[in-house]
Amino acid sequence: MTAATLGLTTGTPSAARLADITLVESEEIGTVGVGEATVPHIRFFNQRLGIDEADFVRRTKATFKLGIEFCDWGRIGDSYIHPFGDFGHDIDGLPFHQHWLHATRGKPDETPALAACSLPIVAARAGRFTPPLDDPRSVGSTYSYAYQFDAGLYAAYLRDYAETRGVTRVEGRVEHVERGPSGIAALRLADGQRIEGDLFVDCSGFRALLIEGALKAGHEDWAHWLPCDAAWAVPTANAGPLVPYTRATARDAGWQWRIPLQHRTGNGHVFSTRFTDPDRARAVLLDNLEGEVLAEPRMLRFRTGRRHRQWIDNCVAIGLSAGFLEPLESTSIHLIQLAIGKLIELFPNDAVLDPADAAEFNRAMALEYDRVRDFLVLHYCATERDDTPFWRHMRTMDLPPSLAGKIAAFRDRGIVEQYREGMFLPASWLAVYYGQRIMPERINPLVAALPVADARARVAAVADACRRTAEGMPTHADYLARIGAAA
Amino acid sequence: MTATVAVLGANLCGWIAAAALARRLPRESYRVVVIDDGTGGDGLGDFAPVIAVPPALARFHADLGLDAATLVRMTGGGHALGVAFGGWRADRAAAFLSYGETGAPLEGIAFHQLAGRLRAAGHPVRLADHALSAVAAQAGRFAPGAPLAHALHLPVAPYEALLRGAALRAGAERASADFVDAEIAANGIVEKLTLADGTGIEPWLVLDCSGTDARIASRTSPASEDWSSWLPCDRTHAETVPAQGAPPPYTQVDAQDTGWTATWPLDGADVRLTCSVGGNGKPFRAASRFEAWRGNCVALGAAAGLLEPLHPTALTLLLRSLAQLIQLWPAGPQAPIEAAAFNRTAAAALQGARDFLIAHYAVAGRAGALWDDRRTASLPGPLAAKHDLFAARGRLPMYDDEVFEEEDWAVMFDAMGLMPRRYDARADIVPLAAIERHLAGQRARVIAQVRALPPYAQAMAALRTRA
Repeated sequence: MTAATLGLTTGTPSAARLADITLVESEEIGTVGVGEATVPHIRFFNQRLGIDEADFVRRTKATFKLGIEFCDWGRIGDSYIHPFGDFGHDIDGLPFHQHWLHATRGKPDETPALAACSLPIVAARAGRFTPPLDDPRSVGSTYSYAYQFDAGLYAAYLRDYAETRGVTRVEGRVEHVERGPSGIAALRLADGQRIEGDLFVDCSGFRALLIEGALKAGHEDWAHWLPCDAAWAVPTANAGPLVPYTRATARDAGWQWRIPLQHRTGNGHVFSTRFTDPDRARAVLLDNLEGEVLAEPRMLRFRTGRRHRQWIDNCVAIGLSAGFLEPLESTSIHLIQLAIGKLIELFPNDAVLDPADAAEFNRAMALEYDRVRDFLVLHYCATERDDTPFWRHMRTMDLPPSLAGKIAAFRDRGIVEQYREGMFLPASWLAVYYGQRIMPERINPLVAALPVADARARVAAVADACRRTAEGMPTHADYLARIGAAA
Repeated sequence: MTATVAVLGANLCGWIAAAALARRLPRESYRVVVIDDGTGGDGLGDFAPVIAVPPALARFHADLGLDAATLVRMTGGGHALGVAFGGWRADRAAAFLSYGETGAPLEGIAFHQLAGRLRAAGHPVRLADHALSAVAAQAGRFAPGAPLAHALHLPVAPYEALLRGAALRAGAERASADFVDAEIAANGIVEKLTLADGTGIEPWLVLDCSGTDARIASRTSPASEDWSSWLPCDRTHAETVPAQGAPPPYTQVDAQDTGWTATWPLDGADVRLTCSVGGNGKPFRAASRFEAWRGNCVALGAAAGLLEPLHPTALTLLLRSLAQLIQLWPAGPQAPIEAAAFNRTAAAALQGARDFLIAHYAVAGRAGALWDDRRTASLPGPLAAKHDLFAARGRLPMYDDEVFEEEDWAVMFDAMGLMPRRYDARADIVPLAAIERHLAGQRARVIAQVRALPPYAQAMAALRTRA
């Protein structure tokens, strides 16, 4: 069968052996090449493609990422890291954080912070990195990692990969979408070419040329929960040591990212035009940079939400055409790769389109977007900030009921809801709850009944193991040099 | 002051709950008191004098110092490597659902999808031929120490006695007399339990394990949902018959015109349970209590929900509920947050188990009034989605807190005769010959492993002499 893919190469490589693939891309339409931070799932995507990590890190100017540092979110002056890893380990089936809370009772100053019980946090703070160990008994196995890289270079890398594996690239701009009995029959390009296909993957970004333009999927708008709708992006020269984490600093009407790459630092200011104007937002960004500015800032606009349906007839939307969530938790590429994985699992055989496939794709992707949305909203609503209209709004807005219930259960007695599908595991929720000052009012009485001294000893042992293990790791720059990447 | 956790039901369900909690609750703070509810049942639906104990309980038993060999020897029970289904399919062919793994994936492609590709190419593949437990079962071979996932068939009375002993050793107590009545305050809190000898117990928490009567939960949380439109069997009849020859190491479940008959082999006898729509036998009804936990009473076992015993789901659900209860252990008589979290996961688990049962009827090809009717009956939404996607291409959407895994679903649908219309397109990427080699190699390994096992009768004889 033939699948036509529209837009960036990111969407195509792993379908290469399932079908003949044509990629329609226009050089006239620029792509946004900002520094991109990711989540650990990207490693499994790359592994499935057989990509060599060291080669990939060299060619995309990548750095390693152990988590995200959040500054000024709960209160101005606060800082915490959301790590890719656990806090301690369950004790007799009861969660470590409950034992930690118990240990802090009475003598909070003598108990290590919860963050000290997470190896990726300790290593990130120390600027150290090494890949995790396989041995599940070792604290060295309790974390994962992702990358920070130049998105333009990653796209070029995947384009090479896809083209050497038989994907045909057609230069051109889509002028007309021809409808047919099974949805879309063909794309007509400005130069007169006609591209037929059995399946069309819409990677056309916010324009959503096929899924919305032709098929009118409809959009669920989430601006009332996530009002940020624009961003300024600007690269700077690296200043200071290369840290193995992304930083997200809360600002008066949004937040600012800092993504360290090998050759430069990506910066951006995500803001809400309801609460500030683009000129002021630009000034906020330029006033808060560490290194020398390397280019003119560029502004992007976006709309938070998702399509009601991401697969309709023979058209599958992947990436921004499917939905958008601000990059606060580096989820953009993950959502793309998750959709690719689902598409491959549900790939039509012999061009047979079964409504059950589309229904499952739509169910699974909607659930994923909804759960990421709730996690992002948590960052904004779990705050004591009331210093600007933006934060006063965020602090008091009505929450999605699915999120309000989760927060209430944690605030009451430290219950973290677990789900089968959805990328953020309990440790991620814990990091943000505690990092943004939501403390359980009570803990499990069975933990509370244990001797406090035992809990303290356990916490101290975990913190000690994290500290010693982190001290044994190379610095992030040394590790990059070791695998042949300049740092 | 010590708080009293009153377990209502001195039966299998109640003693399991008491053993699990007595091990985990600090004795200086809690006493666990088990009270006979006077109903004489097992608290788990009371279907038969034997119960199938799924592999998931091995860890629980081990924590109590009970290993599988001891349980089987002391109770006169048996082992089950899986369930053999007879007469369910349109072609009446036998099918086997094993407790262990079936086949192995290749390049990330699930085994049943590889089988789909081979079948489309004209090669017949029986999934069970690639499951170690299934092949061992068919060959009548088994060894207690071998790495074979298996369930146990244990006679209820001696099994309960062993768990009672374990619970008492762990610190649980037995109440001085049978339960008579409960005083329940206007706010729904159980304030006092009165026993036959006049003793009064003021419970801090009540675990209602009194079976479908739910002697306290029926008052504190009366609303329940009737599931009989999806699972219409409403009678069970059990009999124990002397066994002929060596027992087989599996459960046999044969479809009948009005339901099914399970044969659970024990050491020297078979227990046969017929579950049917109408007919002779004890009445029951598939149902679920809306809120198992309300106020200071938590319904467990059949008091929380009841499903026909086609698979050993009752004990799996009970163990999960107990683990949840420990996670969500309340600090006082009113614990709405904890109860809500408990009820959400318990309901999802029970519904997942229910849907697995409904699915058997929905796809079994057997002819007959009941079976024809079941095939056309409407399905609960999540099950309909699962069924449709499997029928389309062998894929299974999985939901939160399900008790059966993806592979269980795939093998069950296959066993009942539902063939996906298409297979995973990725299976086309792998050369057909490579898939054939993969399956052949696997089959050879399975056969070699089974050959190394002793006949089941020999293993049982060895087990008996170890006493």
